[in-house]
Amino acid sequence: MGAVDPIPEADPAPRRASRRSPAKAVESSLRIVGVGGGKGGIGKSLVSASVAIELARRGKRVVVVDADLGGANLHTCLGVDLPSAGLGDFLERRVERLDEALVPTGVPNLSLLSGAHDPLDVANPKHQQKMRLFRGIQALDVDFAVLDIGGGTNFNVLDFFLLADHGILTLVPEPTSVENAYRFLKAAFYRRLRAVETVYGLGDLLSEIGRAPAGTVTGPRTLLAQVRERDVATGDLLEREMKKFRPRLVVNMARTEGDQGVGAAVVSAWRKYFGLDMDYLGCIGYDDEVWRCVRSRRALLLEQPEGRTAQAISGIVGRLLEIDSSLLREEN
Amino acid sequence: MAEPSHYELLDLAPGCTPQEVQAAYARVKAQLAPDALATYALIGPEERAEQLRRIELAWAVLGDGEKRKAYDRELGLPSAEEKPVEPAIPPPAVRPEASNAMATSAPTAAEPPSPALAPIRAPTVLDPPMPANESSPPPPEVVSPPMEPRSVRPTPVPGAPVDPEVRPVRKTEAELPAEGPVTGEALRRVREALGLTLKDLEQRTKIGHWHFDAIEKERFAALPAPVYLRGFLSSLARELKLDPIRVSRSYLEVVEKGRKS
Repeated sequence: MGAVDPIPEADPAPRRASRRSPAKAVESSLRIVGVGGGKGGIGKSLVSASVAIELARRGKRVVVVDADLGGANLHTCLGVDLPSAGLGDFLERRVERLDEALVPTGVPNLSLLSGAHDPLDVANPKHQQKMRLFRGIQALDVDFAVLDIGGGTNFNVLDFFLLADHGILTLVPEPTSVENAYRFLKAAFYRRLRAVETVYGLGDLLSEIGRAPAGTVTGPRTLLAQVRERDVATGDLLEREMKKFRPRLVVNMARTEGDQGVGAAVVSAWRKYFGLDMDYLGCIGYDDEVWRCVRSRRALLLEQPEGRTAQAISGIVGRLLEIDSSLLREEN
Repeated sequence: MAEPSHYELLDLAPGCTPQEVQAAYARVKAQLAPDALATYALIGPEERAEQLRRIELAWAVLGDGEKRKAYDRELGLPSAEEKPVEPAIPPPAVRPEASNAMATSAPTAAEPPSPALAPIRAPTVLDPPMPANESSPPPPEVVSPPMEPRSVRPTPVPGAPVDPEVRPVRKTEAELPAEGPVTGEALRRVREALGLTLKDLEQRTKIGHWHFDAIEKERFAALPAPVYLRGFLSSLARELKLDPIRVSRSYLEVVEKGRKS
């Protein structure tokens, strides 16, 4: 999803800001993984921390970023004491480069960019601050940056998700979470289209569709048909852009056999009724050990490296790497 | 992003077995239950009803060996039986949900829709009329949906070759003639064009299939009193996507004339 950059706002020079940083343009192998889900309490931080640890275990150089601005607690899921440096130092320009704000995690190959010492107004960064942070992340000299993204569907949250090469949607098999997950995806999708609407001249259509109430099927297919009616070539361009929006799905806290089927059902429903594709990475069963570890402020994957959650995470990361390899092959 | 084929609607790949079709039908239908977690927040009641209609249509075709063969031919696919051992075009992998992936392990990727699949088309009837073996005495009141894949019934036509490949193809429109009385024969043609059996209608309307059979064959003596018949006709018309008022009025006139003559 990271092919189109975060999203123009009322910025005096959005074009300049929306280009990939020079660091990315120069043979960077960085891949950004964003973990979102639109709702709090569904395990985004646990998934982020665990995916990052598993990637590091497999020999990748990883930075895990607490991108839950204003609600940062990723360090706790990693079993790291309150870090002495972090995002705030970068945002307030006490350091110039993001890697100067990283703290070690005790796991080889894995550093943390913590948000624990954020200034209190960090939840609402100025546009320029946000773009600087994005460029800083894109300039990190590692293999993977894993972003733990906050809840809700505000623009900052969506933009972190859209920055990622792999946007992982986390949900738990409960109505509230599934509702929010769809809302989150739709909001992210339309925000992504906004980034290209000036190029394609889609303004009116997008506004119309963005206002459609939840539960209606006015989706990409309808939009595409409307655009095609006007202009076939633009329709083709739009379809290509739409296909790039391809989230990955992780189902967390599955308790029953039925819960384990929810992931496949969501992928199927998203494709059939919204018209877009999604990759299912796997399912993590409900595990009492998770809260025990959080209570004792220890990283689950380090405490129980062979436990069933660790095994599920290993499967998820394996699948993610497969998808990543096939994307790289396509790009080359 | 063309309209999905019957296979795509059921999350199936062409070439799947009848058992897979049956399991997929049950699974996809369950996903469209009003409280199904994966869909209730994504689609509204009208869209749900429309999707269920499509699923039933897909099942009516793919769940029936003969109809499925005809449909595969329409899509330009080799049918399951006709497929060579090493097909020239390998069928796409079955989606994870189709293989009922139990997902503590990593599932396979959801494949993009196969470009080989054409958009859904108005169904056509390639077979001669079904033999009239469904007008026997009434079965039990509640009939559950067919859970076994329907057998491939040979439908011999006197004087016509039975090989489906050489049998003349007769297409039927899913519409009534614009004018004139609504006859039983016309209703049967519409039903068959939609790929529906009398049992399908019974399952959808909870009205015994023998009533629909009597309506189509215009066996007026077997029809219920007009006060009930009107309701049956309206339900039938709705299933056939016809105007319920025109169908019930016109057919009741046909009945009236028939009974007088």
